[in-house]
Amino acid sequence: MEEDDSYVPSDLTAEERQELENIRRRKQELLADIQRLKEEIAEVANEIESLGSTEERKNMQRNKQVAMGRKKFNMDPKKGIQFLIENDLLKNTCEDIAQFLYKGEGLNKTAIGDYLGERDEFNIQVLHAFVELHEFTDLNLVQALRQFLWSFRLPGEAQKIDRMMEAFAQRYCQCNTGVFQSTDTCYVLSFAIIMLNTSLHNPNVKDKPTVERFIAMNRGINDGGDLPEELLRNLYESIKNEPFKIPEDDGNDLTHTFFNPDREGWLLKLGGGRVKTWKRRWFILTDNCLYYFEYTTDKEPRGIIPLENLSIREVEDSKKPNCFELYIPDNKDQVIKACKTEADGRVVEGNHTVYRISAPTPEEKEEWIKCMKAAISRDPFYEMLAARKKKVSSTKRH
Amino acid sequence: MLRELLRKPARVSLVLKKIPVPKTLCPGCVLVGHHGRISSPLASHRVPSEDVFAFNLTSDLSPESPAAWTDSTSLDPEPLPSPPVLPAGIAETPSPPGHPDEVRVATRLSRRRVSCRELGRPDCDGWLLLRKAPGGFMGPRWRRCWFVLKGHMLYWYQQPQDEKAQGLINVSNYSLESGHDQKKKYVFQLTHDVYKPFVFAADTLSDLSLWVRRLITCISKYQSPGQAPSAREEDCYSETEAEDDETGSRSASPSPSQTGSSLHGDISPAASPTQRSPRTSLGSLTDSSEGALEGMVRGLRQGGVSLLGQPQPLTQEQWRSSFMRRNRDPHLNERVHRVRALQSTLKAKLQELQALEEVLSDPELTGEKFRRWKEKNQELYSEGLGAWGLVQAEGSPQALTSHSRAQSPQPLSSDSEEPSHLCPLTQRATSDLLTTDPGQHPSS
Repeated sequence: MEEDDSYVPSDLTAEERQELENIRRRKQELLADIQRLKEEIAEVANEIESLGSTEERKNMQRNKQVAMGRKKFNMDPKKGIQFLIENDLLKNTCEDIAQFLYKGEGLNKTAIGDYLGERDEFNIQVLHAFVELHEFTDLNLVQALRQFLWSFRLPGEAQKIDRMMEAFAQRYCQCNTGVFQSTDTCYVLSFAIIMLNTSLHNPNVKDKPTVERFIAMNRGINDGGDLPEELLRNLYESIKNEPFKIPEDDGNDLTHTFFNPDREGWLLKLGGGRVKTWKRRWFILTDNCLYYFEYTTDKEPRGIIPLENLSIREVEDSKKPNCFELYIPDNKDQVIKACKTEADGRVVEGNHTVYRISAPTPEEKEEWIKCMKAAISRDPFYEMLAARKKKVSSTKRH
Repeated sequence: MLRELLRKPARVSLVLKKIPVPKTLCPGCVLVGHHGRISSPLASHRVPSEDVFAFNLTSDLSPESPAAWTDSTSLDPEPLPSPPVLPAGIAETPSPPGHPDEVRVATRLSRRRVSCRELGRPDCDGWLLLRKAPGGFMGPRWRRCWFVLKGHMLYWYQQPQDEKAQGLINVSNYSLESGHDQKKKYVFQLTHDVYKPFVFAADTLSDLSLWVRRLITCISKYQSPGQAPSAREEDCYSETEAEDDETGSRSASPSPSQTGSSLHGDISPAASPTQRSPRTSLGSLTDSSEGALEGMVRGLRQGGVSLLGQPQPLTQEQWRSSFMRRNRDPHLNERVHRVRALQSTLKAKLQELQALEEVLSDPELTGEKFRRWKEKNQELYSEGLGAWGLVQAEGSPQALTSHSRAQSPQPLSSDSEEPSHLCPLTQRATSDLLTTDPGQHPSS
């Protein structure tokens, strides 16, 4: 039953009337397409969920649901926990959930880390309960870190790391009073140790820090004073002799597996090169990077714009509305490190000092800019650490 | 002699020249069974000692690579290690220099498209400064690059993890000489009879010594005294700026000029430039707390790893890979991409629907409004204007009905109506979706 939206304005030309008619027809097509797409998405999602079920069947002895819950957790921690609670397999308290995670049986450590790092009030409480289950009394900081960092895989995002290390530092100081003047001291030193571990043992890092450098790095972090040199030396040696054992990134990190873009949509992009034309591209913002495609169905991106180091500004364009630009600040001539694939498959370095983009509406423009800014500043790891350090170094000792 | 050079680099002028081998000596003889005793012709030649490295060649070569000498039976330069796997986009393969008969079209671009990893174990690598002579009245600029010496080629990169070298030199065509610079101390250069010299500066005396030794070894190994130097520029060197490449890529532009710092502002996100700590040269602040912390973070960034040692995508190829490879299980990976394409398409269609509704459900639509709406939305929501059968240059009678196929994925089973839209690109998009999906639609 077609709606009777056959209103036709009187001042259209014959052609335009036809166009309007076509648009009506197009709407029906779209509705059908949309329905079909939704169905297909649901189907593929089911397929994915049942992938690997044959593996699981071996483990499903008595407690089918527990196993199912664990599997769900590994795919999506929040859903997994929800499932277990709904099936009375887990109590909806932070202590109970923390126990479940601490025990970690059958759980993917990356998923655990992801759950513990979430910003929700409840998750934070679970994090604290989780941390309380660790017993750090009489362990030196490296030993405590070894234990902590093995119980889950530390996520990559700075904010998450911050929350978790803060909780760790608090717990450590609680268990070992008097070692550090403040929690911040413990926090900063923990980071220094983690970085030391990577610097010393990761083959890609060419610059191996010496113990002197490590000591120098930690001057003044004990609320303005220095920590005993012997303490720092011991910690350095401990790491040097034995790197942290960290849960593997086994390439099956399901939290990275699924696409969950921050934003996507059509945008017009002004082409680089001598003759500049506006082209329509499907943009996807994910993983702190902007990818664009010619068609939504393209599997491979046509172009890639890493957002690291880029800035955004709104601009006026004579031809297109709602424009903004991506550019590298402080360096007018440096080319943005982007690349794209030519029609014949060649990958060429982009020729852009700026990317000029036009959004369909002012609202879209605002949203895109907001999302990109959030993505760019998503890993202010260094700032965060330096700020904390500064704070702790400049504290006057009583 | 070498020691002399190293002690007073400014005073001694050093040239390693190619000296013709006397006919009495066959090339093979020089090498086989003469482990470390190189080119006696050089030693016996009467040349002023300042001009030749002969003395040091002997002592340097014996411990270093006797095997290579005894193995080779000719003075031809070692063939390049087999080309690393080139990214799919590049069709050409590099032809090993020194074998001009095997002519394969190799663009300079493809010879440099090799990452450090792909080069394998280098003969020498490390940070050096490369002098860039600008046009005009400004003094020369120095750029810190990561250099890799492998075989007879010297590559350099902006960062060790780059996928493509910024430049390369076929060392066998060059001479190693000392250099001078007002600002830099440990300077040396590779010179050529015809083409421009490359001037380098090391940070420390020991770095200089190391590079000079390695380059000497390399030159003596690969330089054939009898051969005339290759006249072709592309056999001698290749460099981003020198090239006239099709995109005019300016990836060679120098990092923000910092004395000695090779970091191009990676540490702090651009969003808050005011918070960046002042960048200083590596040497001076390492003792301070700030400097040490910064140094360690820099080390991690340069290594392309996160806090925990996870590799971070830094190059375009790595970002691409991060997008494409979501999971180790290829079947799951493919399904995930399928879902992504479906969801993006769904989103696009919903957006289009919303745009159409603006016009269709407006009770006060006027011609003026309609025209304005068209102007605003056509480009974004109708692929090439075809979908709405709007007036366009090439009329397509079937544009009305089946254009939707171009954007939507074809369900694989029965609905196999050929996309009849004439635009070849959209057909490709559709067929791509059909062919890249190996998983059969579960038959219902």
